[in-house]
Amino acid sequence: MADFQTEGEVCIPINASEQIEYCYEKGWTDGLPVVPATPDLLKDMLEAGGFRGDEVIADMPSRNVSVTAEKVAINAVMAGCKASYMPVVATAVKALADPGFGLHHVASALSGPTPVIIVNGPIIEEIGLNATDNLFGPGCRANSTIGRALRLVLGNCLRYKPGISDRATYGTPGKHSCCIAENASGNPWETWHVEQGLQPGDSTVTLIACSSMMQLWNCGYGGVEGLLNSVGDALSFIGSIAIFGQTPGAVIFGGDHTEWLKEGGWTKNQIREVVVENTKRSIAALKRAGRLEETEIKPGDEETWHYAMDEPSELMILTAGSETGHSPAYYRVLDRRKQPDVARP
Amino acid sequence: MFDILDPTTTAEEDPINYAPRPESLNGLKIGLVENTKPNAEKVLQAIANQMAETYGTDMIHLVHKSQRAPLADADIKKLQIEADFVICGVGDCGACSSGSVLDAILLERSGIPAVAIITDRFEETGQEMAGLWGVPTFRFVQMPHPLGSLAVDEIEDRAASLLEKISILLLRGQEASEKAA
Repeated sequence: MADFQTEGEVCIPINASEQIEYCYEKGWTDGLPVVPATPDLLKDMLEAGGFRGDEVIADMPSRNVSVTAEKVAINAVMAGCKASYMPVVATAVKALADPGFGLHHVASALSGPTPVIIVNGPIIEEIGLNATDNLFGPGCRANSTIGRALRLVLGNCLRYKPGISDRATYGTPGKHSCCIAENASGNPWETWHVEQGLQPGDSTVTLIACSSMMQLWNCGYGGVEGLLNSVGDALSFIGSIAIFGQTPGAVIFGGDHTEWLKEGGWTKNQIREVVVENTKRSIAALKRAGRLEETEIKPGDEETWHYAMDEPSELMILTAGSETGHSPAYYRVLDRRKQPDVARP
Repeated sequence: MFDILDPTTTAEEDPINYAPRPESLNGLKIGLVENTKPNAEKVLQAIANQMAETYGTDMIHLVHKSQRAPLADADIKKLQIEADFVICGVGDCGACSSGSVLDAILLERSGIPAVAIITDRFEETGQEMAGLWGVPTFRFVQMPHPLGSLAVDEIEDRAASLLEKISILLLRGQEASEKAA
């Protein structure tokens, strides 16, 4: 380690590489290099969000900590965010603290889910979030750094540290960063936030907690019904942690699938009904897979059904991703919570 | 000069006035807080049954609590009224082990002697939670991992092996138990 000059928690390193190494030594990173946060960058971030530094963004009940705007902003700087992203980052942190989100389980469980940030509304264009090609992939600064900022807040402010307080068995690549936007243009339906009763001109952040993402391939030989059968199957795979929890699911339609559903005049509720009907598994299948304490298959077990989802309204439907392709993405959701509006100065 | 800002929050030490301890466990009322993990309730019930045989205790109140959040205030109030002491657990994962330790801390703060049980793979996770709540030396009872695959007779054996540790924590309290150790 370089020989740093320090004054309490403030360091005066010599050059950029030493500044980055200093952050590693302090345990402040997610494994990737961070942008060292300076007072000037902090000031810009707070101003862009319209926050005072000491303003409490969220109280986290399971962590005995209040997270201030200053700490959120410092982590946003370190993640590589532009100052204009601060309203989205701060709203996502507020959503973490919502009791309905169940943060403690999400952040520390063996099943290793990640919060997924979903953004709706005009702020998508204002700050350049990606809602199309390579939706979950690399390439867009806003998506990549906003998701990463939330991860840094989880580690640095809420002290969910891998192997200590975050005991995920495998984790998931999404734990580095997972932030997407819903695509309003070409969307056959109301966007998610409008469906929840907000206006198209509102900007919102929704958090869902997901252990894994699946991509499906379906060329439409079975029509839309076949496609939706595949969706139900993905949401109820036999090893899913959520198969007994009756937890919500989320599906993202993009590419040709959106067009098929649009051409067929399918409503979201019609889609939900068919998908949920296809999340059923027989008791016999669950027993064969060792998912039930009782393992002996009895008469009637092949025809007795357990539904991984039992409430169609709990299926979240989003439109995003590339305009072409046959692969909708599916998340099995552990929980979700919406924050109504992104507060902007 | 180039100042780098600290992104972390820190927990302050916040010593607890631990709940007054009973002189003996004889005839007391037990509250159980189980975390919905497979076999957790069975282990807690086995402990309660064995304590009933040994000390004549009664199992009064069972709380089923998810791993999503700390024990609710309403449950704490009910336990304050109905139970003389509480056993929380059994933690065998990241969320539920730290969660059971937190529940015991919250109960102690509310004046109820409480013991958390977690499996030994999660000792560090439990300690980290205690540190966050300002009591880094908070003691809890550990049992061998795993929990979910235990057979009925193994559950009884585990319960029997934990009785003395639980009793010491309940009777002597956190500070005295630490000195004794």
